[in-house]
Amino acid sequence: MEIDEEVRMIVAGELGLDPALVTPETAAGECREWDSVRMVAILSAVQSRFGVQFPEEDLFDLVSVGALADEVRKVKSA
Amino acid sequence: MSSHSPILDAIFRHAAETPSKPAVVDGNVVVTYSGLADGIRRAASALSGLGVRRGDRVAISAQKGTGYVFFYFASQFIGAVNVVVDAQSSEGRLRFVEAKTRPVLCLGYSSPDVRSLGFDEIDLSAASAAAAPAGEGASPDDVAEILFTTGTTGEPKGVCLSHANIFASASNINSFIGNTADDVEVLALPICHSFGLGRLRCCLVKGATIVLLGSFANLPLFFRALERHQATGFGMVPAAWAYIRKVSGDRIARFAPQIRYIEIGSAAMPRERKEELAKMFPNTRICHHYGLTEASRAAFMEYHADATDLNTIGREVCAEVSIRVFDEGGRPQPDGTPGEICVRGNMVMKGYLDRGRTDVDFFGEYFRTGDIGWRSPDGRLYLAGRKKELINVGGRKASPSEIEDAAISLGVEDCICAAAPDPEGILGEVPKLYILRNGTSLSFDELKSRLSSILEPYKVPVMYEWIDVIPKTASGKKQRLQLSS
Repeated sequence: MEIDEEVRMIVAGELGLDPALVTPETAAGECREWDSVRMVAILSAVQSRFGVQFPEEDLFDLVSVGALADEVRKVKSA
Repeated sequence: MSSHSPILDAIFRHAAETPSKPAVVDGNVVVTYSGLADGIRRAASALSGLGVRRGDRVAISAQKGTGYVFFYFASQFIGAVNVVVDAQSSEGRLRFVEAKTRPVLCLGYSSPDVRSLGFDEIDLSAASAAAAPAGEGASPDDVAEILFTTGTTGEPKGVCLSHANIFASASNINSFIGNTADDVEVLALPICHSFGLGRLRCCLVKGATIVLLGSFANLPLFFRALERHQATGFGMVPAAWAYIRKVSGDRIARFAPQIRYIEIGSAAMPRERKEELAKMFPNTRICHHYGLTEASRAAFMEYHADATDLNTIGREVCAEVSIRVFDEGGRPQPDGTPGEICVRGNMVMKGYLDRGRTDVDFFGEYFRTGDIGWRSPDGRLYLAGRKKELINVGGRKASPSEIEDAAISLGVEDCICAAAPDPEGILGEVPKLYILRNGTSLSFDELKSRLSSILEPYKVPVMYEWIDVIPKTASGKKQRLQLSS
């Protein structure tokens, strides 16, 4: 499964949402279920799934499904 | 002329005196005090048209938005009772609340058993503000809202708060914090609980501006809101501060000069976190409350004024509130001696739903918090250890017995749930489930996945472990505190 799709499925799973409702634009704070508690769980699940560690200075901007997928690509290629 | 609702009296007074001042901001929507008063009256008229009468209960889903704000106050306007429910409640929780309160209408969510309407399904432009019925015969001592709290064991309890209670609470808090009509507050807290709802009321009673924001999850949005609205205050739970620090380092410090106050509460904050916050906001009143839904808020401490003694929960919020430490028989304890913290005051609830005021819950006029603490000779109060088995997940309270029951409903033979430190260092504590060895054929991952479908997210245990013997007393009561850390 490609990175975008896997990240989308992880976010949907953590938020308990139908994956059809989750898009790359789905963002924390704008989607009722995605609060800071879920955010911590999502960051942890995505890093664990791809075996990566996001740099602390990047966390601030990782607020959407698309941004998380982009970050996975960036860290994996570094 | 004063009505049954001193909060509404204050809002309508601001609407008359400062009609064009922003009261509530939701995204690009700005509702002035005049617009707020008009919206409340129209919503009251609409509720009346739907058959809601004084004393009726309306279950209302706490979704941040102007619709919720209008209808929350509209119910109060006509003397109906708001049963405030969390928009993220499980279906089981919603049915429980409905069975207990028998609402005539559900707003903002759909119930299979009760007439239900979304906020946007009610056309407020068609409702007449002039036709709003103003709760004739209602009294300030009537119940204005029912909030459900999590009990350690057994069912959640409905806390009945009167119009006078919720106004007193807002006035008490404002008197401690010292906020004014000139303040602009960003509300990123949930508004289904006493803390966030209290912030909404505090701002509107003062004639200040409140900016609604989804949550703290999206910090770029939070920071933009602070900047765009030149915000001067906000409220947060300690978990939000841990989150802000983890995700944004010290970027928030640039807002320190404009932030006049921060209210913190719903959980304890480690001393080093308090010091860090005080250092980053040297000129901000950082007010940490102690309180319960039943007595909101009872005590306050301030990080700068109490800098030499950051472990205290402070003193009574104001002169109208009295806190005493009693022994198990209801006798006052001398300073320095631990006992149960008990609270008397104008904001203390009328009683629990279907139970009223009982000796179990009160020593005379003093509400029994169930928390153990003591008072120092200089009047400061301190909490001592843990008496309750409740797990405080970043400010939200989870009942271990509810979590155990959920696991048992999935075929687990026996288990025990206790608090464990959050491995991410954000939430303070999280639920950990100890399962009787060989008591299930499910893997921990399978169990977690199935629990996620029946429990609200914060109640789903984060950690799982086998246990050979469930610690119990001779009478069979589970000894959860033994496992709590």
